[in-house]
This record gives sequence, C-alpha cells and structure tokens, in this order.
Amino acid sequence: QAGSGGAEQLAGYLQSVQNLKAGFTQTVRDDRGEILEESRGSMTFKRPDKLRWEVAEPYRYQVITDGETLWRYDPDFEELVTEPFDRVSQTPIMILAASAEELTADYEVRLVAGTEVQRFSLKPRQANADFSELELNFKGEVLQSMLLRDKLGQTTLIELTDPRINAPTLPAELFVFRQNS
Amino acid sequence: CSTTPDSQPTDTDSAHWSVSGKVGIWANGERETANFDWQNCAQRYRIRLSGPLGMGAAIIEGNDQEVSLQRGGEATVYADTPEELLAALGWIMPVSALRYWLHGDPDPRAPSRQLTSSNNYPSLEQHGWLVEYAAGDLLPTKVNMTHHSARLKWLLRDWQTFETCPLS
Repeated sequence: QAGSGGAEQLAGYLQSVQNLKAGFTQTVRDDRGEILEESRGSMTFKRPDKLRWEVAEPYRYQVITDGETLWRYDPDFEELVTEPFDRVSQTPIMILAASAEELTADYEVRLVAGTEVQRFSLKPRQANADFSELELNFKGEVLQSMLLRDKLGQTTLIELTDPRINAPTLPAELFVFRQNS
Repeated sequence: CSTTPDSQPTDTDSAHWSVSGKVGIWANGERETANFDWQNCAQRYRIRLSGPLGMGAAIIEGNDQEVSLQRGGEATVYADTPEELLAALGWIMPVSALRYWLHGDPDPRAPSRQLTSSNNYPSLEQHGWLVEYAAGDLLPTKVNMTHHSARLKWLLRDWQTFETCPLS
C-alpha cells in the first residue's frame, strides 16, 4: 500500500515512547494565518492509552483517561463528564498510541523531512475525518510538535515544551480524575 | 422576513467590539462547551465557536439580512436569521439579541423587563429568556441565560473595542 513504509517508520518512533511528559502551547490560526486562539497547559501520556491533558490558560479544561474511563472536567463550570474511553477523542496526541497496522489502515503516512527534524505527514484515508492532515515533528526520538490542518483551512499547532520521554515510573493516579478540594 | 420596530442605535450597534470566552450550553438533554470569539461591527458579526480544546471550529458570519455557518468538511449553511440557522443544529441561541445582552443591555428592538436581583447584579427578561448577570464591572464577565429547559452560561474574558472594523 502506498505510504506503508512511512507508517512503519513512524510506528517505530511511537513505540519507542513508553511515556511522554511535557508542557504545551497551542496556537490555532485561520486560513490566512491569523491567530485565532492561543492556549497553554501540560500533558502526560503513557502508552498505550493513558493520558492527562490539562489546558491552564486562558481557559481551563482537563481530559484524563486511564484507557477505560474518559473524564472531561471543566473547572470554570465545575462540570465533569465521565464516559467509556474510546480513542477517537479531540486530543490528536492520542496518535502516539497508534500501531503500525492502525497507521497504515487509517492514514497515508509519508516521511517528509529527515535531517535534524523528522517530519511525518499523516493524511486520513477516511473522507469524513475531521482534519485533512496531521504533521508530527520529531527531534531524535522525542516528539517536538504536531500540526493539525482542518477542512476550514485552519491549523492547530501544538508545540511541546521541555518534552521528557520514558520516565522510569509515573504515578497511576495521574490518569484518574480526582476532585481536588 | 419580519419587520422589526425601528431600533434606537445603542453604542453596541455603532461601536466595533469583540469579546472572547467560553459558553456552556444545556439544551434538549445535550451538554456542550464551546470556546468562542465574537467580532462585531454594527450589524455585521463573526462568531467563531470551537470545541473545549480549541479545535473543531465553526464560524457563524452574518448581518441583518443573512447569516451563514461554516464547519470543516461540511457545506456552508445559510439562513435568514441566526436563530433559524442554529435551530437547524438543535441549538437555541438568540444571537440577534445576544450582542446586546452580553453587553448588559436589553435588545432595543423588543420590549423587555428589567429586574433587580439579590446579588445586586441586574437581570432582565426578554424574548422569553431570563438573563442574569453574575459578575463583571464595566462589562459583564459572567452571564447566565435560561429559556424553558435551555440554559446558557457565558464566561466573558476579553472585551475589546476598535476604531475601525476588525472584520475584513
């Protein structure tokens, strides 16, 4: 299949990331490149499907999953939504959990650039996917940024700050929602 | 379309302003949160709604004659009024009146009743909605709106006014 070479290579990168902890800045731009939204927060991912994604500014929102339950908590509205976890959620970072088979099946994957930064371009094979392209940029084995293009021509750039991979241990309660205070 | 009584322009009508924030929507058993960015020039407006994580945008653009809704991967939807447009989505949002309510004013084109409330923030009843102001000083920062079972909770973060219209 076209592009399956890229999928294997990307899967190799993803499998080498057992866990990833980083801050992030997210910048959403319209089709003319004008900034529509900027937000910051922190994230922790543990393969295959544990995630803590916290937006801290300018609004607050948390997406937490232990791979079975998905919690979405809105501190501004003090509102918690709990549902069974399914990987198709609004957090593109979950691509980190994809296997070579899934990548090949769901995307056309190409390694676009390869010197200092390895850039992978993923184009969904399904027409009704909610984005038209996802770019993953790695420096060495560490993910640096993701760029999502949607069908309105808008781009969402998620840049990881101080990304750390494969910490020996991660507290399990990171991936379970707890009402603090 | 319906003729509206002649409205006395308020500063909301003439000034160019924008506000961004978050809106919680409870309507027909559904619960949604959207981040929004609202730009307004007199009768023209452009509202960008995105999911709680800032992605998955929808753009509502309009004036007094027509309004359109653009969403990624779907054809643009047109309607005469924003209320018609949003009703097609199962959303209840009195957009035309909202631009006044978010400012703390009633829609000048229709009768309204202003009430005093316990938390010494005003509230008003109009178009069948109860609009309660819960925080803010010059301009509101928290507004709760209820209409039968529908509820909208607005957090208004960033009020701005402009000399020239920010809408291209």
